[in-house]
Amino acid sequence: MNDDDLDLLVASASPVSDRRVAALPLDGPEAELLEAIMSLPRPHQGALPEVHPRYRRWRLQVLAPVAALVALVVGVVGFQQLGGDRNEAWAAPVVAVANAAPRILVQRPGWSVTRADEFTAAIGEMTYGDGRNELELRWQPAGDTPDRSKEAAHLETLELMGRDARLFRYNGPVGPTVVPADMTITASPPATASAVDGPGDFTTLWSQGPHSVEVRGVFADIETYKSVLAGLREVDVDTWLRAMPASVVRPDDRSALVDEMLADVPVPEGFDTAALRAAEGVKDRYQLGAAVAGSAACAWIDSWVGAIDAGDDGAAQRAVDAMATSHRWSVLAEMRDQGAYPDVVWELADAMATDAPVSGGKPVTIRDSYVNTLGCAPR
Amino acid sequence: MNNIERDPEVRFRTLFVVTSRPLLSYALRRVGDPADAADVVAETFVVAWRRIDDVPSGDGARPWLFGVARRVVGNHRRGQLRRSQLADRLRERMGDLVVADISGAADDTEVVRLAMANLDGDDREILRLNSWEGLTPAEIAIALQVPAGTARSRLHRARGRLRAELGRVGWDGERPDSAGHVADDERALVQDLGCER
Repeated sequence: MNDDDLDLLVASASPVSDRRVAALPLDGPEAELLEAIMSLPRPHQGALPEVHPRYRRWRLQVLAPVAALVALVVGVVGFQQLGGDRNEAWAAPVVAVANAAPRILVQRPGWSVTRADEFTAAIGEMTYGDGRNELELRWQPAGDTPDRSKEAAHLETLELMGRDARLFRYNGPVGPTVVPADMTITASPPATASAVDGPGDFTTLWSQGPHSVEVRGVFADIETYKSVLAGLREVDVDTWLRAMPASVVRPDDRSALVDEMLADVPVPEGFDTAALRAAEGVKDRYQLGAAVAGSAACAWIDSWVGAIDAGDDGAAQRAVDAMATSHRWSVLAEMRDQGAYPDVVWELADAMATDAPVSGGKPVTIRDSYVNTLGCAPR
Repeated sequence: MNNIERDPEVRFRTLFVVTSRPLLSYALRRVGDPADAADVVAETFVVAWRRIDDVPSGDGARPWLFGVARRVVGNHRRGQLRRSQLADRLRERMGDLVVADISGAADDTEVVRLAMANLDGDDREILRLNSWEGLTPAEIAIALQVPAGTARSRLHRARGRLRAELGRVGWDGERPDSAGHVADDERALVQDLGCER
C-alpha cells in the first residue's frame, strides 16, 4: 500500500466530511459570530498580551535550525581543518545551540546517530541505530510534555542519567478493543502490565532542564530496550557535534553534490543553480535532494504552464518530455525509500503528459497545485 | 501585501470566510460535541482577531489557524475552555443539526480507526492533519510549529507505524473504496513536498 492509498485510508476514517459541514445552514450564526468577534477591542500592535507566548518564540526558532545547522557544519569543518583546541574550534553559535540542547548519545558498541536532519536548542529529533534496532530521541519545551498515559501503559519509573524517567509501552494486545462510535478517535486502553513480555513499542520520558525528552523504539523485549537506555549518556559539545551523521551535507561539499544530483536531470534554459549551491539552507542529503529535484521540476512546470498560456505547443512538449525523464533521475531513485518526495514529482510528471488532474482526495489541476506541492520558490 | 490586504479588518474577514468551515470540520472531528465545536471555532477566531498582525500572510494563514485551534482543543480537553457568549447563536444552531456521518461505518473503517487509536497521539494527529484537514507537510510544520523537514520525517514515520499497526489489527491490505465514507472534497492534496514558500 503506497502513501496515497494509506492517506486515503486514513481519510476514510474521518468521522465528519468537509462536504457535510460545508452544507450546514450556518451562514447566519457565522455572520453574527464574525461581527461579534470584530466588535472586540483589538490590542494595539506591540502592546498585545501574548495568548500563547511561545508562538512568537517558536516562530523564530523555526527559522533558526538552518542557520544553526550551517553554523554547526561550519564548526565541524572548521574544527577538522584547524585542529588544535577543540572548544575554540567551534563557532560560537554552534556552542550556543549545543550547550542549550540535550546532548545525548547512545554509547554502546555499533550505535551511532543515523538521522539529525533539523534541530534547534528548543526542538529536535535524532535517530540512533546499530543496524538492527533504532531509537528515536525527541526533545521539546517542557511545557509541551506529552501525556503518554492516555495511550500507553506506564510500566515503571527508572533512573536515567540521574533523572527520574517514566517508561511506557504502546500497543497492548489486540483484544476486544472497540473504538467508540462517536466523533473522535479515542486511544485504546493502555496495555496492561501482563503485556510486558515480548516485543513492544517502548517509550521513556523525562524532564531535563527546560526540555521534555523522549526516547522511543520497537524492541524484541523490554530488557533489550532498557539495555539501550542504559547506554544513553550526556556528552560534551565536541562529542555531540562530531557524532552528527555523514548524511548532513557540509557547505564545502554542497556545490559538488548539487552537480552530482543534477548530472542526469535535464534543466530548462536559464535554470539558475545559485540558490541551490548557496551555503544558506544546508540540509541533510534527502532534504538537499528534494531541493534540487524540486527546483528542476518547478522550473519545467513553470515553463509548461507558460507555454500552454502562450500557445507554444513545442515548448510545452519539451517540458513534458523532460519531466518524463524524472522516473530515471538518480537523485529521486536515491530518495524513494526515505520519503514521498519522488512519488509527488512522478505523479506530476505523469499527469503532465495528458494534463490530467493530480489525484488525492480532491482532483486538482497541475497548474493550481504544483507550486505548493513541490514547494517551488516564489516567482 | 497591498494596502487593502494589510488592513486588519479586511484580512480577518477574509480569513474568517475562507477558513470558518474547515475549522468547524476540524473542531467537530476533534471534540465531537457540536456545541463544543462552536466554542472552539469562536475561541480560535478570537485569538486570530486579537493577533491578526501575527497571522502569516498568504498560504501560511490557514495552518497557523489550525495551530491555534489545536491549542484551543487542548484547553477544551483540559476543561479550560469556557462557553463563549459570542458563539451562542452558532452553538444553538449547531445543537439542532446532526453532523455526524459515522452511522453505518464500514467494518474496514472500524479497523482503520482501531489501528489509528493504537498509535500515539502525535502520530495520530499528524496523520489526521494530513488526511482529514488536507494540510501539506509544509502547512503541518506551521500548525505544529516544527521545522518543515521534521514534519515530513514525522509524517513518514507515522505512516510507517500505521502500516505496521494495520497489519497487526488484521487489515487485509485492500485499497479503500473511494466512494465510501469520505467525500471527494475531503482533501486538496494527499502529498506534499513541503518546501518553504
